[in-house]
Amino acid sequence: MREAEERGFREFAVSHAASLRRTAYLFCGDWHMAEDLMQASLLKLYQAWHRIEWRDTASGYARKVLLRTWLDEKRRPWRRAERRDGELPDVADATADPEREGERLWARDLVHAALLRVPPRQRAALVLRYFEDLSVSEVAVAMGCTEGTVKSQTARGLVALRAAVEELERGAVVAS
Amino acid sequence: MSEADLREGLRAAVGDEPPLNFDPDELIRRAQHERKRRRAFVAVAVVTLALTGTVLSLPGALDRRAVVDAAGGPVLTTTASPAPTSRPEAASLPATAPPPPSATRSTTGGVASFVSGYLTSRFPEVVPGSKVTAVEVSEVSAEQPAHISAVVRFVDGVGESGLVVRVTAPSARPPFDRFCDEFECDDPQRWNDGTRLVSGTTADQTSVVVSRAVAHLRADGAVVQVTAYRYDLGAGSKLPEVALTVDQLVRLATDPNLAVP
Repeated sequence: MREAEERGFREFAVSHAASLRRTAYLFCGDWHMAEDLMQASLLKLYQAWHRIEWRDTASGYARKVLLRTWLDEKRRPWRRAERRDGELPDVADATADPEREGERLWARDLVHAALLRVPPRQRAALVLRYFEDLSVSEVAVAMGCTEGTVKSQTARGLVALRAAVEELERGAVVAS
Repeated sequence: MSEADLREGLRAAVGDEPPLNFDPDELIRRAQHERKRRRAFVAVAVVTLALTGTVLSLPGALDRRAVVDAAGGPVLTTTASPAPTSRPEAASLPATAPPPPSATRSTTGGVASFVSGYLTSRFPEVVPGSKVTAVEVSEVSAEQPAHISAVVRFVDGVGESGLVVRVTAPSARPPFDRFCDEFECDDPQRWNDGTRLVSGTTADQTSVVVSRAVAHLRADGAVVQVTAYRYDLGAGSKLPEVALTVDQLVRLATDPNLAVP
């Protein structure tokens, strides 16, 4: 890779690493794995960086690579059985209002926990549409499918997410 | 849950993001290492495939050399330089064979070396416009009758082909029996010097001649057999006709320099 290209890739990687990791976290629900996915995606991106046709839309291409890397990772047999219940905070935040903070944490965990119950491609559609704020056509490019598929996946994902949220809320009420 | 709630929930979900320890230099180093590793893997794969292909194709190529008897003695191969452009018409017969080159014929290796060198220089004289690319000589002295086989590979204006020269020492067996078992023989000719000559051909199922041979029974009982083919001995590709004429085969078969010492 020429020096100018490498400089361009370095700038891109530094500016997009954090956002790619956040998206990866919403996909997989684990920060460590999100970091691995981000690194793996950037490695793949480096190998293809000399192809200039998509250079103008590098962030879109990076999202596509990230999504495929995650889906490939999920297909691996040793990943199928993995289940996580979230992480406990190590240190209490003394400045936060305990009541409001509790509600915030509850809402955050509720959405995230419910999101992890949505099937992978529907989850990806939801994250790309409502977290990345991409248009339907952009999501279709990232997912490698038609816009109609994106709409149906998004609609089904929303239904599945709402059902999961209700189920989690019912479980929480029963438990309390 | 509305779409707005979902957006807010997703933003909140990444709110406790741990610090990012991202080192682009390390990433680029890993990527470059990965690229090198991949290229090395591809190179190894290509070499392996090439070797496998060579190993698998060699037996097929060697099987076509059924006429060559390499059961015993040493094999000598010489290689000549590239080829000429046009195939000659039938050569005119020389009055006499040229004197042999100055190689020793006293030892086993010396005979192989002599035959190889002699055929390399003599063949283009008999078949003008041709170029010898390799000569493989096999000596079988442990069996009776002792014999020498030489495979001459050459190129002419038509393409690559080969010639097999077999020089057999005198033996008790009737001299042309083996020859006529292998080829469709003509009537033997008796020459004034007391030697005898017979020619023959083999044909495929459609009666197309695929090989032509001449055997010369010398006065001392030795037999020199020269066989030309309608295909390339190495690759097996077909030629429009057998590469040498009967006259050219006769000139080689009667060459007094080709003999078992």
